[in-house]
Amino acid sequence: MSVDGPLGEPLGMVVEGSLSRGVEVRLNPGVSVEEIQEGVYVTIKGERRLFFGMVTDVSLGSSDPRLAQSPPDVSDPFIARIVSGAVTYGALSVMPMLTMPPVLGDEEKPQPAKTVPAHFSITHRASQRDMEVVFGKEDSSRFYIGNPLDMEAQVCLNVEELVKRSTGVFGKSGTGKTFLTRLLLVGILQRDVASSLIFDMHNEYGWAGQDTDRNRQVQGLKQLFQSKVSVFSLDPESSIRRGSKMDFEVQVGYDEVEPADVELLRQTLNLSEVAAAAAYDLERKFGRKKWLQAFLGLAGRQEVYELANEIGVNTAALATLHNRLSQLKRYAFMKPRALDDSVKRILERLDQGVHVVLEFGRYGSNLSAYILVANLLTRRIHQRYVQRTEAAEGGSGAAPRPLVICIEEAHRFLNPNIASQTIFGDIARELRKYNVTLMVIDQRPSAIDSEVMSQIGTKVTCSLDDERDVDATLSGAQGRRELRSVLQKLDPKQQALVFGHAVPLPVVVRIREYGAGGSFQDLTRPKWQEGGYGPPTDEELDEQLKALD
Amino acid sequence: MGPAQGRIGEVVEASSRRCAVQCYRLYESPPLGALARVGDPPVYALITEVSTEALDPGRPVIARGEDAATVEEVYRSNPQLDKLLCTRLRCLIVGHLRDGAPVAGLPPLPPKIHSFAHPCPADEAEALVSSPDFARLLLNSDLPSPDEVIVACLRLAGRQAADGQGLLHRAGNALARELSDQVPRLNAILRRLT
Repeated sequence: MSVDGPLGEPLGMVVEGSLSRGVEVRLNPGVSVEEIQEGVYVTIKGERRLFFGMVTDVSLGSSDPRLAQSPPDVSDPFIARIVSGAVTYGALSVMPMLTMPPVLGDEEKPQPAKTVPAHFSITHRASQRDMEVVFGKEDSSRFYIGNPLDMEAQVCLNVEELVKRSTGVFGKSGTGKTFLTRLLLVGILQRDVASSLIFDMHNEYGWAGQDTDRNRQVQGLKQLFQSKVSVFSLDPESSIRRGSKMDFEVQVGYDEVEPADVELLRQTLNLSEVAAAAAYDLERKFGRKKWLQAFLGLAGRQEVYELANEIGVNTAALATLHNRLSQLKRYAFMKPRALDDSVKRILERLDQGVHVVLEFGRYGSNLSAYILVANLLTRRIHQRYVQRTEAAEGGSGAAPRPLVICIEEAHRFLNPNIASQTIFGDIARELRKYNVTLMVIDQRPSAIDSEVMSQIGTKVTCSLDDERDVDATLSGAQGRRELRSVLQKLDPKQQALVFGHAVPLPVVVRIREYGAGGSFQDLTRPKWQEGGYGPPTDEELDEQLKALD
Repeated sequence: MGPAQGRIGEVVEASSRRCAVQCYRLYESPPLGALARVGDPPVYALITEVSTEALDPGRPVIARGEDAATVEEVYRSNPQLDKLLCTRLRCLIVGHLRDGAPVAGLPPLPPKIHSFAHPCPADEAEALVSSPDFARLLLNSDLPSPDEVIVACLRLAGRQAADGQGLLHRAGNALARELSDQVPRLNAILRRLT
């Protein structure tokens, strides 16, 4: 396929610039700056190559520095027309990001730009075709996530690349992170490139979710993809009340809790370092798998004091630990010993290529419960993945199917104080060594450990207000000064900046619909795929009935 | 017998940059800012000054109308004035004919003395005036008040052109490019064109 197709609307010409700062494009007199938004894509026809870049700034300029002191008489249309374009002009800052090959083939793909277009190269608005060449069309490896700001072309994510490394979904509250995450999970599910385990804090992914802006219910993954999704629940009563078709009730035995889990709960349980560390002394005293039940079984304060003296722990710290951990007894899903092995059940589903959503029911609002369960299950699942991957490397057995673990409030697991101690920190740093990656969803990316942030392969970022969050999100990104400006101007709804491994260059998208019109059908029966998932549509049923007649 | 059809006068001084034309009839000259087509091969001369003076510099003009009621009466009473005075045009050479088309810029050679001067045809004037080189030549000349001449020239060309507004727009753009760092000056010129 040749890229020498029709070019989009001509906008202006390159007048100066550099590879690090990007190039300045002076707009043609007939082109109004008001027609061009930041984040828009352009092509620049250089002397030898075609460049593809993004508008990172729009500015006004004049050739006379005294213009502001003595402006021309623009009330006269004749004067205004002549002065604008010759004396005053619009300008664009464009970051060249890719160079397009002269002919596209299997080996010929757009490459990162390592130079800039020559002086006076003509700049055009990117055409639909340019966008298709760069972002591809939706197919068996690419998922349509949304549209560029000013055109209807599709922006597609390379899902295989997406799951190879961890993914971050960031944005302040109410910007659509949940919708975006649902879409990303649908993309993974459609392509069947990995299984996913979703720790569904607010019961939004498995069964129906709420679109609070439009005051309506939207379908969850189980409704859309039925047998491809399995809903596990910590709170069966809540699942039944919500009409959720639950597949398995998760129970957590006291014997499954480890001192490291307590360490992770320090913040939410308001424990001192000494109190949290006492869990290790308890494990030494009572033994692995037994320590928690034995500790919570202590009858009163006196027994706790005696134990503290016996194992040489500060009495007040141990009393506090006892008091705070006693909260666990109020969780109905916590049992002295679980009836079934939840991890085993989850792994069975994951191996079958089924995606598992763990609903937290009423415990979703309890951060301690969320952190405890997510950490505990993930640690055990990860252990199995490590064992199986190593066995596969040793020639016995197949490598486990790639897994994406999706966590909300990620900074609770990955903040700098604990990221080095939690399983989530390990997974983020290991990359895909053991076929497990993370999808972290958070509104405070600045609270996530910088080392973890640097390992996130693809970032999908909705609007962020806080400077620190913006900095943290863009750390390590090429052209972050320019992206910063783009990010700060995102609409608070349905817009996101996507950058990293799954896209060839940073892109601002209007996120595709989820829940309106025929959007569900587009998701369950994408045009590129024969058959599709989920129940047949009314039209398909009609056709089947007609065929029977 | 009068001058040949439409002829203005003859070149009496000439250099590569300037020429002077003596009109055949007293006071019968084109206005300031008009373009003349002079000589063969033709060059284009922009009238930058119109003057009437004594033909013989040694015989200065003296006042004669003390008892006359009007200027016309002075001339009627002194018919020799038509022979003692003359109207002269000082011109800036602004273009020439190249490959059959008028182009702005200095000609290879100045017009000969006694070359005839004719009014410039409207289409040739339009081609010259809307050229960016025309504006540049005028603005860079050593005329004492180039802006006045530019305004006069463009107004006249605008009135004579078939698409006067289009001509003024093109010429205005050319001026704007040259005066992009002198907005007040550009503004003053453009204001007088509308």
